[in-house]
Amino acid sequence: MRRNRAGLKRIGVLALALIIALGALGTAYAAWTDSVYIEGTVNTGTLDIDVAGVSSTFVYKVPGNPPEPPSNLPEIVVHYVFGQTDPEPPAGGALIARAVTVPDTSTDSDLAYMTLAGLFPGVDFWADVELEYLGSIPATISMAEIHAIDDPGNKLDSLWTLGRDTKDPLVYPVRYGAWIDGEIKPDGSSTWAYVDDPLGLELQQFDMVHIALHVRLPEGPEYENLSLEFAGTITVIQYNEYAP
Amino acid sequence: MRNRRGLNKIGILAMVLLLALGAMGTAYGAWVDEIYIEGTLSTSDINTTLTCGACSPDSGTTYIACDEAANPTKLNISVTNALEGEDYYCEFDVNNAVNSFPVTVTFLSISGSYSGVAADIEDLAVSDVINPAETATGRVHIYLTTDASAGQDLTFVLTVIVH
Repeated sequence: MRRNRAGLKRIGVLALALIIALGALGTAYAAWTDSVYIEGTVNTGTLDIDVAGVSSTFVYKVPGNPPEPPSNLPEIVVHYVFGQTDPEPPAGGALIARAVTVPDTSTDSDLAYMTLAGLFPGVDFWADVELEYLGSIPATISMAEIHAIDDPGNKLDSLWTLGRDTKDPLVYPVRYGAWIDGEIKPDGSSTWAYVDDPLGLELQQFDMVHIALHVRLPEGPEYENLSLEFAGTITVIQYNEYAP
Repeated sequence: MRNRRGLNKIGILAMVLLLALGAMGTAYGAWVDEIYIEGTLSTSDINTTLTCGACSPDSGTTYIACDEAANPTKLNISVTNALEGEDYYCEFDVNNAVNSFPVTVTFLSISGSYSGVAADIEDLAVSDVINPAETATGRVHIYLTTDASAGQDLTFVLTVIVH
């Protein structure tokens, strides 16, 4: 009995010694470490196109003026200009027809109004919106449509169909009707290049593009003195999502 | 019994997939921006009218009158019991509509040939321009230069053509 108690005492002392030893080892075994900390932000790209300007057509009648291009009609003078006003109207001329775009500055440059008034055959009328692509990622024009607001009884409603049907220059030497075409001026370039159809056009940041409504009336009294409302949408989409 | 439990599992799986697809739908929405255009398109035509104006003298034993003809470019002018020394005047108006072109007078004449009678057109001339929403007023002046036609009734036709 006495021997057992002495044994237990020895074991207790040994355990205590081990605990103290382990405590000391704990400090001694802490590994050497060092850390680098990282902070940062993630910014996503942007896709943004805005109306930056407009182009317009002004047609004047100048009494006594001989026929001259581009209309070759007597006394008719045609000015195609950037902007919504003509900086140099002809002296003595009376404004008889116009195609003018006015941007709506109250809607974040995403809306424009076109007025094509007094149109007649023999003159090409062109009104456009000048768009600037401001997004940081490449984009593609996925829709460029301007069409008549449904008015089936109106003869002018047929102009869009006529414009599509007479598009082929090999079949029709002169295209009539209404259609969309345009121009592009890549960032850094100083010249505009004609674009037959803006659909699928890829845009990089700061590229400029004109989307134009082009109207050439056919001869015929059935087109006289009519009026029609139209609407359109131009959509750009991130380039890798464009499906032709 | 076992089949029903299997169907339950499939139902839960389908619902989870639906929810996952819904969430993906948001994630896959492509970036787009749009420009909207609204507008009107209107055509024009030449829309002018020729009408009679005031005539003087327009009553009594000798007078002048104006009537509109079936042809819209013509007016009938008549003098009843023409007298020497009397001046007969009839005004006429060429009105150009609001939605019309500016027009130029390209032809202006008064027919009717009588001995000793002069018929002049005043205040309007070939090459005059009439803008939309404007009215140009001319005047026909008839008078006898001799008494050769005195006491006769005279008729004239005024023609105005614009381009």
